[in-house]
Amino acid sequence: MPTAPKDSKEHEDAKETELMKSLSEEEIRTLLALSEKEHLSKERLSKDTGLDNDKLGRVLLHLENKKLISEKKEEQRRYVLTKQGEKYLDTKLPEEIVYDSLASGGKPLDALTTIEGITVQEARAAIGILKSLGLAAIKQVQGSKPVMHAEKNAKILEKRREEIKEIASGKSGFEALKNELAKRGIMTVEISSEISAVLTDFGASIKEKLQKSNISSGAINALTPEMIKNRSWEKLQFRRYDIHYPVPEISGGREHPLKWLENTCRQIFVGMGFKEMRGDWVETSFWNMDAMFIPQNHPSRTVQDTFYIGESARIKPDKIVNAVKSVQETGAGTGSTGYKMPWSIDEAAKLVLRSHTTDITYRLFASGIKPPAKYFSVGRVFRNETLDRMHLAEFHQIEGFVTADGLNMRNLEWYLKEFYSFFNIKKLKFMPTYNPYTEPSIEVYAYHSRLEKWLEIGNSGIFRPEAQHPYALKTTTVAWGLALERLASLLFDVSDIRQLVGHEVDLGFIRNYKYSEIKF
Amino acid sequence: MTNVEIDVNRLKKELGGKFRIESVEDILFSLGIEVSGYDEKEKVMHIEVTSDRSDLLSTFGIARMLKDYLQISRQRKLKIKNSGLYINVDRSVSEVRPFIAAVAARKLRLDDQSVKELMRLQEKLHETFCNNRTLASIGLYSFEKIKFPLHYFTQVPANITFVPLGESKIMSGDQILANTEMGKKYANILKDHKLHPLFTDDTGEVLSYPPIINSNKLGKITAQDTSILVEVTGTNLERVHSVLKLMAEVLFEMGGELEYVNIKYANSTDKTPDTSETVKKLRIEQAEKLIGVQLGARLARKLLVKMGYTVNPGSGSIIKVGVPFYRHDILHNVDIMDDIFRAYGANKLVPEAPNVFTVGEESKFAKKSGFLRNAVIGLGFDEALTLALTSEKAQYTDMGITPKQMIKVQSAKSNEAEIMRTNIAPELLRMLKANDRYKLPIKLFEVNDVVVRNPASDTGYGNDTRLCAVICDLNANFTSAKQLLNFVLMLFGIQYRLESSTNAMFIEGRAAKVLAKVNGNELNIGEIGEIHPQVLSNIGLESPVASLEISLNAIFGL
Repeated sequence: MPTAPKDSKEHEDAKETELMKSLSEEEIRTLLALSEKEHLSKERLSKDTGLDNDKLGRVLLHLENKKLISEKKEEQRRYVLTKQGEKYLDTKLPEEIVYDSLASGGKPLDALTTIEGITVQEARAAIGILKSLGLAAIKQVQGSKPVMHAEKNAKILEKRREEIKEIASGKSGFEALKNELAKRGIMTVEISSEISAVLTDFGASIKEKLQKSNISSGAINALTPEMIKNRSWEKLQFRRYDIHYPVPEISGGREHPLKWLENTCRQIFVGMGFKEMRGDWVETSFWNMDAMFIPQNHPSRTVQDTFYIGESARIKPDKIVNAVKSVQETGAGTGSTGYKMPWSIDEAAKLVLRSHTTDITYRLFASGIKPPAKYFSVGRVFRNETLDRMHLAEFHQIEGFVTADGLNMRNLEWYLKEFYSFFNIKKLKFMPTYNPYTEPSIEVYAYHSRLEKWLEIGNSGIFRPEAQHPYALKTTTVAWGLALERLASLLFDVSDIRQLVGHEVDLGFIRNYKYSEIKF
Repeated sequence: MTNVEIDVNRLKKELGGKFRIESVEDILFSLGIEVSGYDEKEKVMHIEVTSDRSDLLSTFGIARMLKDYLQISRQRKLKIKNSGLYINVDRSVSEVRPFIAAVAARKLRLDDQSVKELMRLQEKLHETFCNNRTLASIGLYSFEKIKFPLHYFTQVPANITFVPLGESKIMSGDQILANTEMGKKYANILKDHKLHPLFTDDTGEVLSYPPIINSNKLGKITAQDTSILVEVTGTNLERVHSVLKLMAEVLFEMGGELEYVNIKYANSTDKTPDTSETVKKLRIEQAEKLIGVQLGARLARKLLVKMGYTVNPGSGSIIKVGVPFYRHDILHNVDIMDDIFRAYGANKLVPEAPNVFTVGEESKFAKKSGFLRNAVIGLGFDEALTLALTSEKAQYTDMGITPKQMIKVQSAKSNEAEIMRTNIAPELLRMLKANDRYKLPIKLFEVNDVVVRNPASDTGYGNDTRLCAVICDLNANFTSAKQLLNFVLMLFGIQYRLESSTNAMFIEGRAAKVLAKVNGNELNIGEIGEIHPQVLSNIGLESPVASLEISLNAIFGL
């Protein structure tokens, strides 16, 4: 059975009671101070309630939201003497100066505009005023210049002076004089708005109920330890909050979005059985290039591409260095011809900022690894680029390799697809390319659905026999170097790399990136 | 990558009219060449060629590759005749530019487009495969005007006199080096030599001053020329031969009748170009293993032919692969297998999960820094990721620091990336400035590396992992930094003491060195303090900042 609707009067009462319980002590205080008959100014209410201007503003807003009061905003124009105006009042007004100069008899008009202490403009204004006040008249005898004569009635000017003082003190009226003074720059108008409030009918009825009831002390705003201890809350009402009222934003510390991505990559590779490796940023050309069969005349080895720091390391011609030399020059019995060019240890000794992270892989090869093995790293690499929205002189490379018997290009493509599928990047294509140390080599492209184009996001391949020979590594190695920033720009929809890394990154981006907005 | 302009009309003609830009673009992509643009009006296609494929740096090269791939027949075997042409090489060139090779091409029918094509190819080869003329350089001459035999010898630059290409008056070698564009550009190749190479005909008329410039009289090719001599000099014989082969193949494809040129060195002779084909034995199984696909003998052979190779007939498991003489990039059988892979199609492979079991693990660095970063983020710090390459101004000058030594990179393209940082704090201070519209407090941190000297490393340098933090607030002070230090070192159970320090970056009396006890040793791991007001105003910051920067290498055991 549906319950019968409550008596509407009863329903109304219940709503009013609920509303009264939601009022804070300050709201009640203000309500009681308000009138239903006349608008009371905020200034007056502040005096009556003891609330400061800000707090009173908030309270009035709340009361208005609850439809208890209506507010009125009135513009007030206040006329204030300018600095110039004050000076005139302290000494003489321009019309007074001109008038006084006429005391000794009529003067030609052009002589009046050159009186010391007032500008031509002011003098002209003063002449006009004196004329309109009937204090002076202009007479012109034929053949001579017009001359001004004063009428003796100084009282009019004294009265004017008093009126100006009254306007300055805030008195109303004198509209014509106010306009004239404002135009002449003697006074300026300050416009301010005055807020006043009046009780609505509903507000008046609530006020009446409040006066009759005992709630006037207000409901509890905040629970205190004291109240909990002495259980006084039992006799008190908790003020009901407006749960819809907006709250200020908070922000704590956040992980940098690119570090989040780095860690996500780390989790993916660790999950696939990869161990993490790390290396240093300053590297010898040997480990950065020669060790992996990059010829010494390769275009990427010029200062236009690679950062050299103008120093060399001392490289001992040990077993590995000799093997690298011979494989580069002659192929060293690997079935390769080598580059048939002399290999220089001095060139190999030059220090660079690593231009890729493959040096870490090769240092690991040299230290000896036991296949099957899988390793990865995420690290910075440096290239001498012209800086723009797509390029910085440094970026992060996601390096990885798997070495085991019988690996092939299908396996390499599987690792690449598998890795990107974690980010829901499913549309990949591969372009054969050339790397000196991998053959075959493929570049990885991902389809960017918002840009509607293919973006290059990485490079990969199978290490050449010549690039494994110095380390006596006999297993097949599939390897890749992927661009972390490219991945990030896909996921975070950022087109300018400087919004992603560096000191210009907006704190708002770090504080507010949302999981839901990462474009998987 | 080298950008090459392809003459689309010529390409169309070469491919016998079978042509759609989009399908050519797709084929090129599958073969590893990216089309970066197409100028419809000029009928020019821009492509990107990788540095190994110098044989593709011309319209003829691309046409050759596409013809083979599309199985459009072409004369694959280069025809060349013996001749009585020879070049005498003087012993003295061995000191400066020892090698020379040449070929003659007769009965050519050139037009302005094909002359342009030759010039472009010469220029591209100079920039790339010739290493800006250091390894080799190419000269083209108007054959009919030359009196054989030719002479390659040396001369002091003052005694070299001729009208260089594009000039109107006779110049000496010295003047050419000092005053012509090419002279200025390539003089450094000869700067260590008193005697410079010179190439003349039998009457003493100069052909060229290698590797600087040709003569205006003999070294200028126009569409009117029907016979051309191409000469390559250089410092590496292998490269000299390879460059000549590339030029010879193109001249042959242009319809030229080629003739060998004999080279008479002091103690030996040579006949160029070397057109011999290398034959490599390829075990099909190896290609199948590398690609991961069962090809079989027939398909493997077909794919090889599509990629321009010749193969012995039959169905044996070992193929005798003839490598075209212009393919200098084939060092090893894997390079041939790569071409099979390209012809098969990288995007046709079905990815397959390998059965390789290994156990994964994060690095020690990742574990420990992750632990630390989480804790510092918990204190309300936002994480920064700033750049390691920076400017001297930001890293030192603004900090009031005069560095004893800087790690400066050479030929930096931007002065915002001219030195490697040795501290992170300057970058975080800059980040505070870039974000000064945000409400205070702003607390930033970064766990990242800087580079420091490290005598124990084989490079003499090493990464130093740091924790850097800055607190910008109206009441940020020494206490804020010290609280953070206490907290961080507590995380790793490290005891420490502070020692007053002087550093222009900090307010005097409000800065301290952190001396931490790690494995029984007391180490200076970094500094904390209140940033000096002068430093703040250098950066443009208007609120106090406290900072901390400590090394984690010892604490993490890196």
